[in-house]
Amino acid sequence: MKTGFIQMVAVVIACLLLAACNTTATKQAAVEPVDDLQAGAQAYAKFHQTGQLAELQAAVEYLTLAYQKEPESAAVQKYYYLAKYFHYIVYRDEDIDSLKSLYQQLNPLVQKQSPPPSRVKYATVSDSDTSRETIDPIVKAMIQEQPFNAGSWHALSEYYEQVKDYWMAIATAKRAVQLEPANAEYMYQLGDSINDVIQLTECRYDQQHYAKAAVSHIAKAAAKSPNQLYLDNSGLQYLRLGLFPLAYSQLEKAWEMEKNWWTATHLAQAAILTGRYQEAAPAVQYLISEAGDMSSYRLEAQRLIGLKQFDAALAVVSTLETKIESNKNAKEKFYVSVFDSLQLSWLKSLLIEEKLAANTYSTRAAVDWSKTVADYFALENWETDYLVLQSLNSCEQTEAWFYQAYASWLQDDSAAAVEQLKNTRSSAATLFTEYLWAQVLLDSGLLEH
Amino acid sequence: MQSMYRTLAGTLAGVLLAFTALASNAQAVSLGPELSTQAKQKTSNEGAETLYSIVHSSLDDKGDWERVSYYSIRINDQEAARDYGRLVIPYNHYYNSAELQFANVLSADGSVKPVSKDAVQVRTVGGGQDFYDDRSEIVFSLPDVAPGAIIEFQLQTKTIKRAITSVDFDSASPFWFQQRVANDGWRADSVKNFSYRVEMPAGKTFHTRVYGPYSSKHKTGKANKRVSFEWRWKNVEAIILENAMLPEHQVMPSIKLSNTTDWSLVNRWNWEKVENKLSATSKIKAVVKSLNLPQSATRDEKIKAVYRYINDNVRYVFAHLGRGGYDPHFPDETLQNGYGDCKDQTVLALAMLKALGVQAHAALVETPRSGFSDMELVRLIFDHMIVWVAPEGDSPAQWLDTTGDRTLYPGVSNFLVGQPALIVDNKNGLVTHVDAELQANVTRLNLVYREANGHSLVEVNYLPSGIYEQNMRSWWKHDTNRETSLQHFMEAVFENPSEYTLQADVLNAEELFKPFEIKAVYKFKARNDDTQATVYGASFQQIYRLAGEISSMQIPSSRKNVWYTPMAIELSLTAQFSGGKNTIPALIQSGKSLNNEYFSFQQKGYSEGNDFIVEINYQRPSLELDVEQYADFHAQLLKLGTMNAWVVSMLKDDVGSEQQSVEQQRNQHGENSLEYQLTLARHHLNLGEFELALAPAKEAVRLAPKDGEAWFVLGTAQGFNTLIDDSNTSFENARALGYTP
Repeated sequence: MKTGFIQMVAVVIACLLLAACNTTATKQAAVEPVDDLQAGAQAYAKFHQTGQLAELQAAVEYLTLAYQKEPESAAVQKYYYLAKYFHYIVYRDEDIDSLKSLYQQLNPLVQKQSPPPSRVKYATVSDSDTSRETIDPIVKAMIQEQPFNAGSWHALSEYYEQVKDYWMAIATAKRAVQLEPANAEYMYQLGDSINDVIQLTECRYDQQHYAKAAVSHIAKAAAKSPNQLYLDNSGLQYLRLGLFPLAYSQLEKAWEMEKNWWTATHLAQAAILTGRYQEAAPAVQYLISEAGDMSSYRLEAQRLIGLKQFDAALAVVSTLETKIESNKNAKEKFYVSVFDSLQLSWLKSLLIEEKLAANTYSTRAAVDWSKTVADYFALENWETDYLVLQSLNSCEQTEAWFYQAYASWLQDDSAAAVEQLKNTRSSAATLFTEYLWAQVLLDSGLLEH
Repeated sequence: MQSMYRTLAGTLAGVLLAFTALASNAQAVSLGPELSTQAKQKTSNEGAETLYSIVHSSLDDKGDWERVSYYSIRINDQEAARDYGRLVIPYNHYYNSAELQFANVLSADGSVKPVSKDAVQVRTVGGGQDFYDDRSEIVFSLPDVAPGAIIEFQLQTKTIKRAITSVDFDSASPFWFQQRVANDGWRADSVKNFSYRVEMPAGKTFHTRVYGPYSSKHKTGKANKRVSFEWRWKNVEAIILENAMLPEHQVMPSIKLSNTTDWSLVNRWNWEKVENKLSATSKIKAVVKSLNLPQSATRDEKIKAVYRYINDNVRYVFAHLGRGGYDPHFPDETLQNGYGDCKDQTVLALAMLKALGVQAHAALVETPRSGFSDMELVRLIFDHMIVWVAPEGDSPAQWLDTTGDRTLYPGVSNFLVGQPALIVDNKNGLVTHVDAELQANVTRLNLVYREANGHSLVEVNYLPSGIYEQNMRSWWKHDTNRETSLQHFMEAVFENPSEYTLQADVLNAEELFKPFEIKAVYKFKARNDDTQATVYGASFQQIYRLAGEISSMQIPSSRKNVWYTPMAIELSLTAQFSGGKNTIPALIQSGKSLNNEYFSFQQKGYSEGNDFIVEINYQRPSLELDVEQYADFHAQLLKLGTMNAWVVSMLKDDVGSEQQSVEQQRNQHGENSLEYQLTLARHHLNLGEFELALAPAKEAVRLAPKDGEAWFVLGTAQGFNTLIDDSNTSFENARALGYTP
């Protein structure tokens, strides 16, 4: 609803009615209906709340009377059509053409805000066959039935996202947002679809302009409708863009609303990246108790090192090693990469103040970049900028600076190691474990010992 | 009992044309019983009660009246004590003498105290602004007026001069009408014992009429060549005086007498005062000439010219000291003075019309302020004089009243319609009621809503007619704070004044032939979200807050009498929600109609091109409702306030806007341009015309192969045409070229 122009009582009523034009029924306080429209609308809302078909039947009967009396009223049209629409979905006792005919008679405003009849077919078919060849003609019919129904474009975007046609998901989400710019759900879908496209690339951190586009939509959605999902996702996007305080603020709100693995992980990362090691504790403890995987122990170790509680950190590292050893076959939780091994061996060396050999053990065969790194540590003499020169994208560059620092430290050049860690922290892949380690190690002063 | 020897007297009749004078005194004998005897009567629960109301009227052989009235009133509560703290006896000292013969209080402790000499005053009151007449009043206050006290007073009036010698009339009411404190209404308390005795020379014939539910039986006596009649009533119920009551003779018990039922006597009496003043004097001729009417002027043009002339040149002033108030001045005098009262202005108008060849008559009228008398018995009931132009050919009769302060032609108040009237002529006169065909009592409110430069504007015309027009015009002339009042008045149309600026202007307030009008423009704050459709609303409350009667109506629980309103009214609102070129109005909410036995309330709304029109009409006929019906009527009016407003959303015409955008690009950049081809492709995509989108999308890429957006649009078109691989390639090209969604 617009906000600037308010006319007397009418505008208040208008707000209520247009809100009622959304397809999602809102729970209403039970009041004695004064006319057929109110009685029908109440029955329709009850049908959505309880699923009782008798309520749907009552809604159709009341609203048929209301429509006969006030065929021009948008509110009557809206509820009457929705009742008939759901009645058709439930009973299929009428020809779809009669529903289409009714739809064509609706006011354009109502048409734009109500699901067109073709969406019934779309929903039915897409349940069993999601192939583009089958769905595209139905899509075309649905859009042609009411090209300005933002809900239809949004439904398409969700469909394309589901079948991983992310570019088409973007194109359709863009249209939904264009038609209803204030709809948070549509905004979020657009941002999420852009994010999906970024995921297709080798290193998402090389797609900063896409990332910024995605976060702008997601953050707008979160501002408009601050629910856990939107806040968490906007926080995540801010983390990826290196906007850590902003990310922390969003994720704190998300964590307040709902505690789950995703938000706990993102909040812990944001806390560590902003030096809030103490504040990271609840999220990390949640992760350890709920998941107890390598990632959660690693975050706990990072947190403790940031707090300079090195003995406690060493104990966590020992626990992690024990768990890795005893769960070598349980790949789900303790999958170990070349990078994990290297990180652990450096960390342990720092904590026990003894230079252990670089460990390149992996439960998975090292290929490509990880093999390059593993091979590097197998060499006799390490060129100081070899990995950086070998890195092909921002992701590899973050890792390259970090392991180059490890190599420098192994060669007793702590000063070079510190500089390379700083370069790690200036690189783009902000949510890589190497990036977080660089932050923590620089904060801890361990390299200065 | 102690008498008062003062030269006080009074008549309670308040007839505009009446005259009074002071009378001499004499030792008076009380008509009532001793106060100590009266005190033994059982007390009622009412705040005050009249124990005795006794009126003796006596007509002598010359036709002069002597009237003695006695009242005793018991005060039972503090409110009554306050109200009876000051008593007023008005009279016209030109025609009557008046004397307060005595006034006493029997205090709660049993002592009797007379009115103090320094608490009685006789004063000439005149008539207020622009009024110079012979009205006086006796004002007095009694000591120890407190709950438990009984007050008594007796007054005498005598005829000094007779206004009309051919008609003898008298009347009596059981009530002493006491004005409440701070002039807040009147009391007419119950009367335990009422008697009215009238005495006259034997041989006089009188017609009598008794109003109300009490007995018309009376005693008749004869002695010394005189006859007498006496009515006695007991336990006359109090009348609660309220607004909107039935005419007095239908609610107030009273006894009226007259020696005649022939109104020609009054006609003749008045005609004699008028007939010698209608000559075309040189002054009248000069004035008529100054009107500059052409030879071909119609009757209507002549009447209007006279109306304009008198309004422009003769101010309303009632200057009749020492003249009695019934004799008009000669028109030449009125012209000379530049002022005159209703009689003066009427006679001047008649003289001018006569000189112009238009046949017109003086019409005596009883205004609602004076009452609404039945015309069975002849009395001097009239308190106003206006012009009645006789019908001529196809032209109907016309009533004309020049005495208003620049009121809308023909100047006759709608309150006068239906009131008793006597059209005066040189024969028997015509007894009638004012049947002027005036503009109906209608208030119209026309609203035009539109958008301008990001603001919503509402242009409003408030168009009153009939009594609404007359009231508004009068308010505008007499309100010294009118600009502020106007602002507040028009803010009732939209109740959120912080959201808009209001420019309101009054038109035609001094125009004689154009109705009063208010024009207002409401400019609402700029909208901060242009993407949403404008929503307009209109409701009956917008006009009802301006002209509705509910806010001034008595609450039903306190109503005691029949609610009577003789005037029909109509309120009419038209709202036009103007749509732009690419706008479609969508009705979000409509208002319902409502019909009942009291009023008709109709609402309708319809599209007219890009506009939406709302019409709301409320019509209430004249009503006479008992207390129960009044409560129901009141409830029905309240229901109007809860009815849905009309709400219309002015939607953008999407298809029209799309096409307009395509045309705009073609005109601006030509068909072989990236901009046009991209817009065309998007247009087809937006409408679901996916096949049609392919060609312009390809053409856009051909025209600008390095344009990422063109590739994105092509990828979308290909995607919708299930060209999945081509689509993905195009999208990747878009990204590679730096396109950001």
